[in-house]
Amino acid sequence: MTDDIDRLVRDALAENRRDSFALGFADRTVARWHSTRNQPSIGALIAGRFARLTPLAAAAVIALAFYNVRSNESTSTVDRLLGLTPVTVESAYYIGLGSAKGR
Amino acid sequence: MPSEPELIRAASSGDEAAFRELVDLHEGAVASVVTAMLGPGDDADDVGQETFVRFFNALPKFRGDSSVRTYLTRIAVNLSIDVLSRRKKRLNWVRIGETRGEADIAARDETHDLETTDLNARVRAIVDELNPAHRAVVILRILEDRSTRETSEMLGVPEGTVMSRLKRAMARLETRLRPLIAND
Repeated sequence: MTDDIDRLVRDALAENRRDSFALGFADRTVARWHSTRNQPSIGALIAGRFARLTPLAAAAVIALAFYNVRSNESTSTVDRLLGLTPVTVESAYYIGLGSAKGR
Repeated sequence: MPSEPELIRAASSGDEAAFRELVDLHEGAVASVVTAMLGPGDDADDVGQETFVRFFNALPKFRGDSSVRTYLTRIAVNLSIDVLSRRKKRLNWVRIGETRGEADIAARDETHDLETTDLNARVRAIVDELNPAHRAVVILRILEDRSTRETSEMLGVPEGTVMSRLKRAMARLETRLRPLIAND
């Protein structure tokens, strides 16, 4: 029975099978290959767009860091560089009260 | 005439003639699998082209662990499975969109069965109902006469998976085809 099924399936599929594509297949494939080779990938496109923004972003980071360092002289250099405000017992207590009132 | 490794080296450095020669060399193998999976036509031609383009774009990564033919067949089968899955989804959408009742659909199917009198076409219609991944196994094992090992390499799945898929596909085909054999 299984041999009959195998034969039936093989004959049916073999009837539809072709040993080559339509004439000019190699030409169509070469043309497609050329079009994909000249086309940058999506990743490369995105990287290209962001690369243009890099100098602007770097300048903004430097300007912000410079502004932070100059404006808060009472804290450590790292805290000033990252724009972190000093945390004291009073400020922590105040934050705790604030959130309790908010509830 | 240059050897296949020489052609691959030349094609990967952009040699169009080498590329074309490799396409000519392997068109038959790719066409055989793709047309068996999808039937001859535009979809098959498109998958055939895309198979070669993907292969050549991946040439710098090709280490030669498997033969070129195995590698191409793997790409071709995977692309064909994608097309079959898309076809199935489209068909499901069409069915959802239809407003006919069950009785109308049954009547239409019956008419369709009567129209499809050719035995091979009826068998193919039943094979079409298989899950695309199962269908790929049936084509490689039954039609292409590939061993379980070769099929597992071509599909990129373990041999056990190939065997279980084939068993399930053949069981389903036997159930659906038995009435055809009995009537014949």
